Amino acid sequence: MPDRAEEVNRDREPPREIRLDGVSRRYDGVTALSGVDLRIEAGDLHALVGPNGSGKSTLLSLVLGLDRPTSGTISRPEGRIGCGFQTPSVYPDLTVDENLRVFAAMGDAGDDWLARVRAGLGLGEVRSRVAADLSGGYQRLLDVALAFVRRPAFVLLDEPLDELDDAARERVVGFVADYCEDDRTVVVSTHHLDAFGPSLDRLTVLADGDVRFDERVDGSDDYRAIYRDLVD
Amino acid sequence: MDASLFQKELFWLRRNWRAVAVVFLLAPVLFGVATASFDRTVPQDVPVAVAPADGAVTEDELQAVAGLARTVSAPRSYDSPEAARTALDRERVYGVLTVGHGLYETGANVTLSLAVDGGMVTYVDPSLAVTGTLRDRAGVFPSTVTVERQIVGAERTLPEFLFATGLVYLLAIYAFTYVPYHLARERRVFDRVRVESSLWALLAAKAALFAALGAAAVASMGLTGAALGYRVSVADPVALGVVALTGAALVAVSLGVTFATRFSVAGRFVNVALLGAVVVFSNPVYPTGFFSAVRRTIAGWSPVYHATVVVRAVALKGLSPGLFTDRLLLLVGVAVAAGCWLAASVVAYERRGRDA
Repeated sequence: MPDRAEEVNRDREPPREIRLDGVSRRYDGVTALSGVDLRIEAGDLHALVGPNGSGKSTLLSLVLGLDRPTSGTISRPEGRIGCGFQTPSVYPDLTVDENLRVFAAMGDAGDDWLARVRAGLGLGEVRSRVAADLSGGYQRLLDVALAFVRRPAFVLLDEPLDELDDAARERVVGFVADYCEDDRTVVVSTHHLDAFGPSLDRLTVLADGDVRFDERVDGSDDYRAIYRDLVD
Repeated sequence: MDASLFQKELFWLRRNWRAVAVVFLLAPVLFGVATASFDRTVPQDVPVAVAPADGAVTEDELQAVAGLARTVSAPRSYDSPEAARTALDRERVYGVLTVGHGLYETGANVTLSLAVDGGMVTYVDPSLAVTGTLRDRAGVFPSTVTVERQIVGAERTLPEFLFATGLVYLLAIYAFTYVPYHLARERRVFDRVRVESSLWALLAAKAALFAALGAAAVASMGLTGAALGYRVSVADPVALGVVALTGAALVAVSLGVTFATRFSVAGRFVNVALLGAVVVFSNPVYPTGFFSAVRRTIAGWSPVYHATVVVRAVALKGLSPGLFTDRLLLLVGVAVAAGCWLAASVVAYERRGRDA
């Protein structure tokens, strides 16, 4: 039997997972999320899928602390959570490298890691270009890169493959999968389920603000079939 | 015209009617109302002190002179020339009319002396209207009345006067235009900053940047003034402090508006309207009451007006900042209130979450 002090300490340990319990979010008469229970476990590549308006982006905003639930609780692990946004969130007047350095400097991942992120996501060619002048695809890649520059334990990406060509998509999926190998967690909200399919550890399907499916998966599963059965 | 494109404009109008109402309905109303605050170009409501030259002067004599001066000024009674002179230094009045004894004594020689500040350049010439009127009407007294005008303090030129006044308004222009624009341009990165750091840290960084840029702007203007040979002490620490404090308060107000309106067009217009109001109603050039008594009252509510008075006093006239303790405290209070307004706006912005 642990003594009381140990119990208290254990209770105070920061969670090693992201946990949503009965989370709802309503905007002016619209229910974006309705009583969502969800665990995002350490080390997983976790896909969050669902039709447009199903509540994926709202869920990510709540986890990131950019929005507050109408009801329910959200537990987050200690430390910053990396984030990529549906609309790339970058400094428009800074170059790619300047953007990367600004956010890398908020952590201590080091220059080597920054260089790996830049190279791994294919931003080397445009490193000196101003973000506002980049194509939509490169802005997306920069947004994804910024999610990783501090090497956080948890990363949430909202539609990370939008506007990317096939080669860039492969690079992003490969980078994300490698990142998860290191006991780090990435949640991707995406409409491109097939691209991530072989690497996924867990799949959550949202529809109309509800969790319709939330299971561990492996490369042999037919994700598209699961999704169609639940949503169509 | 392509009807479908006009239909698009109608759809846009329906979606943005609030901003459109502010810009195209409310703004003209405010503009129209603002014109009503200009009554006349005779400085009839400019406050002028009326004080006895010595203890022999009677209340009747003071009232009589005040009555004569009323058509071209707003006379205010003071007990002594010294108290009136302090009021002149503080720009509570723009002239000191000292009244000698014997107005009602036949054969007596009486002097009415109007003192104006050589640093308050835009009242030096209009004050001639006061002395001229007094001369015209002095014949109503049985005594022989001499009306004289004297300029006290160092005389300054109009460019020097405008230069000293412009220090505050330079920062006001930045505060209501460039700073909100700069912040709005980076709005798309706010979500990331909120996750990775905080909006407070972002605002602190902006404050450091614009404090340095504001200092550079003032230094640049100061060097220009020096090159032009202006006798304005731009480097006076109190003047710099007042300019910085006022600039910070105005930036806090404008950014508060920007956050409170969630970076909308209406918010941008509110800031432009505030800049217009500051420039029009803070009496940057003419004495308070030059155009109307209403404008004198409104100027008293404007912290920018009080900041301008202090900067003019220390940088242009070389007066002691100790004369302006009340105004300095007012400016500190306004800056604190503006900071609270900005903080409340940012909290409200964050609490509302992302645009739903």
